[in-house]
Amino acid sequence: MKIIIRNLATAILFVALGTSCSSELDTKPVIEQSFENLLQQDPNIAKGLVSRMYATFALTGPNGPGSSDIVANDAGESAFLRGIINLQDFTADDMKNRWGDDGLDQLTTTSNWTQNNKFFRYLFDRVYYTVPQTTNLIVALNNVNVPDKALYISELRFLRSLAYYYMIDCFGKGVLLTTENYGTTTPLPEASRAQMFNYVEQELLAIEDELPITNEYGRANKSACRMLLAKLYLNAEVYTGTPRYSDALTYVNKVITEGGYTLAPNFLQNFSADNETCPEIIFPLIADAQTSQSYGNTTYLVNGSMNSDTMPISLFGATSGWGGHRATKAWYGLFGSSAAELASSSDIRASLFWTAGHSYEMNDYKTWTDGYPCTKFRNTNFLSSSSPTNFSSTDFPLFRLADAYLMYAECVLRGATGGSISQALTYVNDVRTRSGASAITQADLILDFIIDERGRELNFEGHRRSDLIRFGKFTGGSYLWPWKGNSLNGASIPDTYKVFPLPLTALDANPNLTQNPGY
Amino acid sequence: MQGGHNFQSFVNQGIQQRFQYNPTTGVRELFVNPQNPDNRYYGKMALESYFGRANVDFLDRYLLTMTLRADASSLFPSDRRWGYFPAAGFAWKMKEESFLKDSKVFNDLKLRLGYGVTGNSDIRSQGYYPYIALFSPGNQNGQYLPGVNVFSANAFNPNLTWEKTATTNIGLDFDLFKSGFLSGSIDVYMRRTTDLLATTSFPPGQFLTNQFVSNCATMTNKGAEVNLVAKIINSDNMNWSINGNISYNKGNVDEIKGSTRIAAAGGGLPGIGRTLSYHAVGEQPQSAWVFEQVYDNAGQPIPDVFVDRNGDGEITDKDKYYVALVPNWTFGFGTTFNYKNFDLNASFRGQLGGKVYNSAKYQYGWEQKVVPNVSQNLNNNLDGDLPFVTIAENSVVSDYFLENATFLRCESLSIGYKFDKLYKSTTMRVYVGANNLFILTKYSGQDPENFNGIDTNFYPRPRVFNMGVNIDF
Repeated sequence: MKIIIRNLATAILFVALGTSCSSELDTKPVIEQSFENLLQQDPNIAKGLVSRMYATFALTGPNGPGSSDIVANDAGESAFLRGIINLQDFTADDMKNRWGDDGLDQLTTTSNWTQNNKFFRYLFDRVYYTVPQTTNLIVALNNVNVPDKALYISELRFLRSLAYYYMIDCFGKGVLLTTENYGTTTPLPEASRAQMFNYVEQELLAIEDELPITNEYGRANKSACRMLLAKLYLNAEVYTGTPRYSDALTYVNKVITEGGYTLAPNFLQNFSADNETCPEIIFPLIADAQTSQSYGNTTYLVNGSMNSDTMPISLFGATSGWGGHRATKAWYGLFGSSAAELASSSDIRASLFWTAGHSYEMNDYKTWTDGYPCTKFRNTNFLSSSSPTNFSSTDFPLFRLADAYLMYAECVLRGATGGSISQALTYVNDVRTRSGASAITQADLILDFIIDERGRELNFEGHRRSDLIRFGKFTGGSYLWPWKGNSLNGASIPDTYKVFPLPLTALDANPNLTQNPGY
Repeated sequence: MQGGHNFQSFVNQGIQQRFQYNPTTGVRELFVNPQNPDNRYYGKMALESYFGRANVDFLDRYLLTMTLRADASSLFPSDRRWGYFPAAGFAWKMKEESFLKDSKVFNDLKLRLGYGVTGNSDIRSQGYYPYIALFSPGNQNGQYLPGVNVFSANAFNPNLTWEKTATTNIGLDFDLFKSGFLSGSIDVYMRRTTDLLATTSFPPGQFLTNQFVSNCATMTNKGAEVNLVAKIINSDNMNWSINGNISYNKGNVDEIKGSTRIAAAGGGLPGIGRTLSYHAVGEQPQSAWVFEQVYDNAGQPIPDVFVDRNGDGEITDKDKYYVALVPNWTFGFGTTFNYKNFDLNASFRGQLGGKVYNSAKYQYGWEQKVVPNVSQNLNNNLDGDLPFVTIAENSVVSDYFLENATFLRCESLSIGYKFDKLYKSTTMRVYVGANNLFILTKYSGQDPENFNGIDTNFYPRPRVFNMGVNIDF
């Protein structure tokens, strides 16, 4: 018996020794490559890696519209930009969706929000896809020498900060993954809204000098960085309790005076398929009908607002209409109280609603003809003719100069130092008269006017919910809009709705994370 | 003693031609990805094993078998690649002992003791290189900045290793009474699975994507199985035997690394992105995490009204509880009967307990479902419980949709007759039979038997009738 065991042990030893020869087990890929191999092949490939990180805000994955970087129930639903629109506009007064998907209805009706809603999860998972991916690349680039390395790293830090901005704004807490703690596998501690705010502020201040004043179209420059910084400061009172309007003004002023941007002669140029030529856009999320396809870039805004039941969709460059989104009277009511008033308005921004066959009131948000579809975003060229395509070629203007002008005015009205009320009035009137609206007087220029003007100018561009929260109009019952609180004429919603619930998957995966109050 | 070595290498590669409709002209055309013109794909996996076995036969009564396997998979990093899987089995042929040798009752009696570890490395759904940091080229629809080709960092897990299951088993084989009247076996086992390989959520931000495979859990299964065969009649003209088996298994999730709960594979509700079943610590694997439904006086569920189980005055996930989907008891039985040239075979199978989620009810059984979404849609199915006007959020994760999955199925039944000497030595058997002839169950949906405990069947399981002739020349 003993002998047998010893023999067996010898056999085991033989096995253990044999293992070292098995180099065949180190199988090597052919299509996929290591970072080192990629760079050996072509040092300029680093730009392709950076391009991919920009793409994480518009595309769902590297292999076309059906692919997804994150595990999601539906690849197309998971795009970062689609999440921004869903969470910033459908939850607010301007846009409603009628598809009735579980989770989307709850956004549209600002009711029954829970940690199981997949649409909250998509944005959360998107932030925490872009953050480690950009950090991974920063760490890798730090160790090699490639052309434009410093610039790439600054751009990646901008993109990481941009992703974190949405975590701060939407969820109010999270974890802080940084270049320094990248690679830790034990769950990170929970980071408060203020901690995340401070981190993003420091990051943006650090790269402001590194980024060039102009960069290739689609890439971050000084102004994009300053604009994000200004947005952070503008909302600082909401995020940290400490107002920073003067700081916001400082950076938005730098964007206006140093950026070299001008208002597009025509409002619509910002939202057309050839808007890469638009002089107003500070930071776009690129879309292309052929080379950059996604169900979550502007395709979601254009096709989602189209329905051949009531409109000639090819007029807007679309070949398929998904019949989902319509604006509410909380938006088009800012221009006039009926279809006739909208039609007679001199404001070009009032003309971007499809009224034929639709009713002004949204008595049932699930009925397509209740409420006006918004035709602000379209897939037609502004300067030339173009053919309809299935995917949109319109870039999404995440930051543009008109937003900066209105931010300037708001900061001044909120008591920021470093600006003037007369300059504020000029900027507001520049925005208004560009679209054919009448100029206002200084007496008209009050905060309540600003929130309405921001609605007229910027709705459906992913800012509305943050704006309403900053103006104290999002929660509570002081300001109501159709279907707020799941009620036709609007109902009060609790203050806890100022932030979204963290998804259950995140709470389960990191026990240090705690749920926001009220969920 | 035996020893051996085995090496296997699998290569999966190919090229594809892809076509698209030109977005401008609408003409079908070759769709060429400049970064990978042939759309080539390539994956290689290698497995290597060494194994040794020793048998000891002592006095023809005590049998000892010991094996040791060492397996390596290229799916794991080199320092975690090798798994060592020992096993030992001991059998005591009690019939050979003097006290049973002449027994008329015991034709055979054998006691078995076993312990063994097995390994699992089946994670190929995550690609061929799940532990290596790699970049993949994007395709021609997934580009971004003009004039530069994108590359994407793939998610990977450098800590992957074998999933191991250690089984301890005690069993008894027996053959009793005259001419094997009753034979069978009884087994009691405990299986402990460590480093379970499953797709889980990673701590947000600390991984290159949100979910990936990892060695994340420990589970224990305890159970018993009984198999019996009774040869009731055994004569020249007539044979009749009955066989049956019953098993009991109860699983428990002992530990989940860094968490208390992970979504069970295949545990998502169709169409809506909600997870129904989880592996949760302290619960049976694959348990549904649901609310307790409140019903009206007529016994109809009141949509979105649930029992406040924790009594905090509000309905949150904390009011949910776990309901095991997998049955603890399963059984089967059958019979074979021959009388002269006539034969009859039947087999039955079933389970006691377990739950099935009737997803057809929420997919088709609510009012808004029949309202056209866009005018081209036709959803004219309305089959279910009218109180549900719409399906939102919590209403689907209700124990109302969980039904008792106990069933008894007649798997097959056949009757035949054999004609001898039809012509010279030619014989012919004529038979009629049915598969899935009937099922006895209180379940209201299509079929209580579903792999993940979630009934998503739109079409029923077919009932097959067959008749045939076998001719033997």
